[in-house]
Amino acid sequence: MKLTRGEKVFVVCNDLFMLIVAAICVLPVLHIFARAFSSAQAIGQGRVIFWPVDFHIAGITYILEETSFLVSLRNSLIITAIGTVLAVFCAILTAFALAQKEMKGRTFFLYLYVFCMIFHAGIVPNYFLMKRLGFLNTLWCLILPAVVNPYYILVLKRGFETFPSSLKEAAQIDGASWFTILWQIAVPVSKAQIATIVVFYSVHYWNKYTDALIYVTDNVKSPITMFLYNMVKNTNIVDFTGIYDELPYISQDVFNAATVLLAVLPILAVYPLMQRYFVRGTMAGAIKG
Amino acid sequence: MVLTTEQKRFRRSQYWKGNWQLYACLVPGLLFLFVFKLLPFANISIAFKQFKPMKGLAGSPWVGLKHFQKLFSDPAIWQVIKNTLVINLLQLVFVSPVAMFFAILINEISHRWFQRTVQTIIYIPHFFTWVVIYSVFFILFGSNGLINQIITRLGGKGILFFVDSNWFRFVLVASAMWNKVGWGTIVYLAELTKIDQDLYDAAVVDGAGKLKQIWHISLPSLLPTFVLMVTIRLGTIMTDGFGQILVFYNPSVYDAADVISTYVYRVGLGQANFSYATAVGLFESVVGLLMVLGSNFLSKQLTGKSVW
Repeated sequence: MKLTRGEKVFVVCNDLFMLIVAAICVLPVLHIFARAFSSAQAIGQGRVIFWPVDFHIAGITYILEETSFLVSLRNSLIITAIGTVLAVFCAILTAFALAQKEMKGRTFFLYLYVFCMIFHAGIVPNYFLMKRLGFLNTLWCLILPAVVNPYYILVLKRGFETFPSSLKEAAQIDGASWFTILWQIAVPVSKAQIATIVVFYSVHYWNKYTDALIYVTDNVKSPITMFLYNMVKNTNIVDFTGIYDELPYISQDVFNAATVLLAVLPILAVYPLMQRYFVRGTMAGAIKG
Repeated sequence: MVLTTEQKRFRRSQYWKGNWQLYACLVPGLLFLFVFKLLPFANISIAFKQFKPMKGLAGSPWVGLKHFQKLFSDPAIWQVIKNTLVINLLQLVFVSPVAMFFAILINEISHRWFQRTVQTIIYIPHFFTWVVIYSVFFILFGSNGLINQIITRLGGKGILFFVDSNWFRFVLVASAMWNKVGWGTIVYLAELTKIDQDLYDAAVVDGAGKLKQIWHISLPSLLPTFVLMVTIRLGTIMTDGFGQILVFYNPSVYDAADVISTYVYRVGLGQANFSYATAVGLFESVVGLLMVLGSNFLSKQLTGKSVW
């Protein structure tokens, strides 16, 4: 196909524009990475853009060795691992049952989930429930309330609905029970959809910070999001007295940047793995024909 | 055919025998749903009492609708409602249309590998928690951030993005765009791949250029999805923004950035005004419910699609 001159100009401008858009998405992160390895003086003078100036790794080693960062990292890993396993297990069972049209009372349960998706008791009632259950300042209050997420369950339910009913009917004629159909047929066939909600749930658990802000005051139980929150909001959770005299090329700016870098790395590390699944999942979730 | 009670009972037991496992599948989910989503409603009576944690829920006296009367005469609440609407409407205007526009442009990228790369990159900010996004924006737009360093070097006066109310709203919109626009293109890109290539070929035969093809083919085919996306978003307009604003704001911009959910948090857990905050939260939930139902109705009318 031959392009006219005007179209050629359009194509070039368009490519250039999208290049700028993509740059806006990554360059801010790159700038912060550069700051994490630069000296306080260079940052203050505005000499750090996308490349470290006066390279050092003292900010990062200090955060890793002298603060509760690793404890928070461990908490986040525990929360994400246990939370995702529990959540995906419940979601598979629930979504499978809700996808079976012959189940009596299905509409009732479906609307119960939809109701819980859009109507909440609110922060204060939730807080006092957690208090009553004794979950305040434990990892449980960051895991259990998020296990059932009606939205993700509905996404998976749509996945189960697309799986061919001929397979199911053939199994039923052979006398297979629902459990057999679920674990032997539906789950293996819907692996991709399940992978999608594994990604959704784990990102959700990893990123959530509001629950920690509300329910957790103990640093030892803080997830990585709260560590970063306390760091950049300067709530003096980490005691820096004396450190700046000892390491003159370090400042709060360097620590902030170093913490962001450490908090973002795990996500960036698994991003290529996740990327395959989330696009499809978003499509399934966004629109019901 | 009329069934006798015997036959009905037999059928029921047959149905139960064949299908009890389906109900068993529901049990774990319902357990969590009951404890963490429904049980909190048992505490909703806090809104109708003068709740003191020391006395416990049962020991606190009933006060009827006192807190709701206070809610409607509280001057702060109107500012908060106004903020909620302004911030969310701004984000609505700057996120959904831009995402649709970007999707069209991405679709027109000349090389497949470049298109893939752009897509991969612009989804990344969606995977950052609001705390990371705040940190990124604070480091860039803070008083000694890169942006202010550039402004002062060019001879301008530094801008206090996190203190000045109007600039702060700009920061909220910009960060929402950074987080959501790239991700928002996915839905539109998927719609674009569904368009019949013959339509474009026919348009070329008719002498339509690229811009005309976009205007007459791409854009109209995206409109239903756009309407759906906007109506979904409209439904959550009164309740959104908690995660974002809670980390972004500070006392100097409360007047411009406090939304209903953050107000509930601040008044309830911050100032220990539990009963009043529960009343405001309940008000928010009811309004939110009505908005979602309304937007779902609207979506069914406009696009024939239900949100759930």
